Amino acid sequence: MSNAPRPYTLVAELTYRCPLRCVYCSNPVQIEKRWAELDTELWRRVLREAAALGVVQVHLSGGEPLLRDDLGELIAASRAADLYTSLITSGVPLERARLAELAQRGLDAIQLSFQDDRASDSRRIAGVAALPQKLAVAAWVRELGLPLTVNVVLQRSNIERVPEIVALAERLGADRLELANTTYLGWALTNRDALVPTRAAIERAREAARVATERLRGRMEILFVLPDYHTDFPRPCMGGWGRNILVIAPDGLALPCHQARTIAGLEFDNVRERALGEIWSDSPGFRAFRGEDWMQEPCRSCERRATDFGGCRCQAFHLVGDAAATDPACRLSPKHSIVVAAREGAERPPAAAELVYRRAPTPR
Amino acid sequence: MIALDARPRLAPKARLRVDSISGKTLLVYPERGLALNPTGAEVLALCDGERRVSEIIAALAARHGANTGLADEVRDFLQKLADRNLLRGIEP
Repeated sequence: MSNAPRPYTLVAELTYRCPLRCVYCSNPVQIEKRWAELDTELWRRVLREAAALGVVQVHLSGGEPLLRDDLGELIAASRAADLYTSLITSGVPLERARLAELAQRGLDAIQLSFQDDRASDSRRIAGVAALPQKLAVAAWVRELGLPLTVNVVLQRSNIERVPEIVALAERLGADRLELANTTYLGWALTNRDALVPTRAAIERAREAARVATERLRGRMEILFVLPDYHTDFPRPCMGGWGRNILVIAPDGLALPCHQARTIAGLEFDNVRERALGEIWSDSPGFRAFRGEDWMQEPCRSCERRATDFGGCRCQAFHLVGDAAATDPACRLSPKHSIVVAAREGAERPPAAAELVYRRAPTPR
Repeated sequence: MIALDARPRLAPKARLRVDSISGKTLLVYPERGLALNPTGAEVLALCDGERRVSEIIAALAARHGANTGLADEVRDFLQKLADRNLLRGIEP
């Protein structure tokens, strides 16, 4: 919205625990048991401090936020702080009575994930059979009058299903459909060779999404995010590092994005130890890649630097080994060949794709 | 373009609020937020599901003086919100 760093959105990752084991999960691959979750009272403080900083939206996320017994209290606390409150969920585990209670506590909207419109493929990607439960949850969401966003992460095994996925979202009464191509970080990077689609499949998906967007205009909003591996320029990750989005990890670490803690050498602060406003403005990890001073060539003199902010710092770190490098998804990056090799690998007939399922920390 | 006799109101999923930092009116809805200009904020404040679009335009003209672009500006703005599924009461 404006240029001065100021958070509009708080992503509250309430837990890393999750009953699903999606192979594209962007949570950190190294999940440590010692990362104890923030308690209810600390989250209440975080929500109040976030609102005072200017945050207007909170996404209660994870992991699976339904695993927090205090979710209803946190929704109430979010609304008390005048935050537009969305639940980002797999829909597992949930019963109708609990959803009704969450709605009654003031929940504004639900984003429900689907892996595929087909049960078998859904199970193959999520590692557990969850589609019937998700269909039931979607029906409850509409019965309770909550706005429904359907989110589907696109990858090789479902990218040809865009017409069927659109039809599913219509049947469910979704008023927004997010078709988000996988970003290859976390578990998705581990499984990249099994997930990257062919360019032809991406083009067909884009066309199907375009046709559906026209047809459904005014009834269902469709967001189709092109995969950065197949665009010539990187995505403006998080809208710029530490500009408008604030992520609080389950253990209280305050981050510019949910992957930022995986970048070695960055120093982040924990909300247990510092006030959120101080962290936002002063934390070394937030300051590291704000503005343009950190940029190297070719970003430093690039006319696109204010458009894409050099791309994704985590991708630069995990693929190039330098978080201040140009995102290798950019065709101007000297290391662009890394991304080209990955996407060209998808054009050869895939060998039997072995999937590594996400592991979650053991329940408290 | 939105009909002059439509009686728009905000969809239940959208909320108007004043931004504590900028003082601007924000329209907040799932995953998104729009910072409204003063005219946009006035238009939405008049979208109560009772007033017709023509009456909203007339009310703004009465307040600020009619200018040639006003009707189109208001209808354009409302159509953009309708495209995002943010209005009700606009069905023909």
